[in-house]
Amino acid sequence: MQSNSDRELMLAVGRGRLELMGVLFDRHHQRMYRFFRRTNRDREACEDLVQSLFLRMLEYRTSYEGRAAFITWMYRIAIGLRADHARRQRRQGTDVSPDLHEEELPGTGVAVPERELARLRAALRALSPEDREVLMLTKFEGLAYRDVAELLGCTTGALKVRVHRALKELRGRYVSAGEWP
Amino acid sequence: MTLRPEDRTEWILSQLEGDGLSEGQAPPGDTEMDRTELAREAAGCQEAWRALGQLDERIASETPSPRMHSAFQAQLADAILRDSARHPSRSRHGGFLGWVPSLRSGVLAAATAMVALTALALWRWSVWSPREVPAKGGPARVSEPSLRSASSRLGAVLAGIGKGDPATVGELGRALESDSNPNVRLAALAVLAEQSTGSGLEGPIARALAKESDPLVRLELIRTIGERRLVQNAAILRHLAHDPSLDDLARDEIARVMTRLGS
Repeated sequence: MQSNSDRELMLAVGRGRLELMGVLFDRHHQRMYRFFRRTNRDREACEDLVQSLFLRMLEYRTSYEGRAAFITWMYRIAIGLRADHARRQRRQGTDVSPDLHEEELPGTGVAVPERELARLRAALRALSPEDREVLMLTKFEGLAYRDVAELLGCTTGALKVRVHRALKELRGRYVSAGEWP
Repeated sequence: MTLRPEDRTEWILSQLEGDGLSEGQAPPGDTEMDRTELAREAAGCQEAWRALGQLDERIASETPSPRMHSAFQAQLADAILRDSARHPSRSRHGGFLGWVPSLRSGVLAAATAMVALTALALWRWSVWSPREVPAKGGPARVSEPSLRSASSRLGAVLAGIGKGDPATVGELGRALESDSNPNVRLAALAVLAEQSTGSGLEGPIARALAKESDPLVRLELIRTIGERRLVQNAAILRHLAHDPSLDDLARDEIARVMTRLGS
């Protein structure tokens, strides 16, 4: 049973109970691994990023005051870390992996044929980074609208408009590349 | 009155996770044309939303390696030790071991927690200690928190030596087979798998697997055989599969690897 909320645990970490970061790691490392994997094809790099994320949270533990939801705070740090990593990759001239890299996507036995998925991937990549981020946070990360809104610094209403617009844009780009399945 | 844009958005988004537009969820709107147009737009968004889910199917079911867990534990233990050194009076009731029951199995939990408390100290002695010798007459230096896993550290140390260097490969093999610290053995395996191929990898892995008692290291050895398709190691896996003391996790992994190797 998880008797303590993430918020309470993080506040306790901030007060010096560093070992409780282990509980938070247990709860969230898988979702954060997937968060990084969606934009990076290197599994080991993603595992390192997850470790870095939790260590960075440990480093900034006193900055968490409990006003924001823990999940929002964690994703904010993760987004910053991902941006740092991408910048580092660009500086080093290494390939920055595209979103939802192709070789990792489902092959046979899925409802939508592979060629449709390829078109959808292309449509997703063609979106603006902001629209793509909004869709990825709401759809793939399973975050509530209010959490994503807090994360992006906008109202829930404004976020919904952005999601709606991004979905229309995605569909439009998809349809223009062929027929909708 | 015409439907406000925010109400249209609200209604469309409310349809996203549904199974379809049922009669009970008829679109709002003054005219039939409005309602039809809104329903069409909602259906389009709903299809896009579902297709996005399929796009993410594979990654949504992917899990990180257990190695990440143990590496983080080691780093957390290091941070706790450093913090304890700075704040010796701070209470640690219910401390570090309080969270391990959520690990995958009891045996694994006990082993990895023990590793966590000792690994960094041992690791530093074996790899980093020359950099951390206190200056004469000065205060002891406290190392900066590392954001890298043990294998990354070792990889960084070896980066300048050159891939496949026989002496390096030999040292890594010896560390994998006989180092007393499981974290060092794990790190040695990770780097050896990058530095070496074929028989250069099969020999050390076979010897290590024959005497490895740490469940996490054993699991990684098995996994490496599968990932690198070391078919010569299939025999030792077959033998290991009959070991009654083997944990279920390793047994399942052996089954997966044997399938992958076609044995």
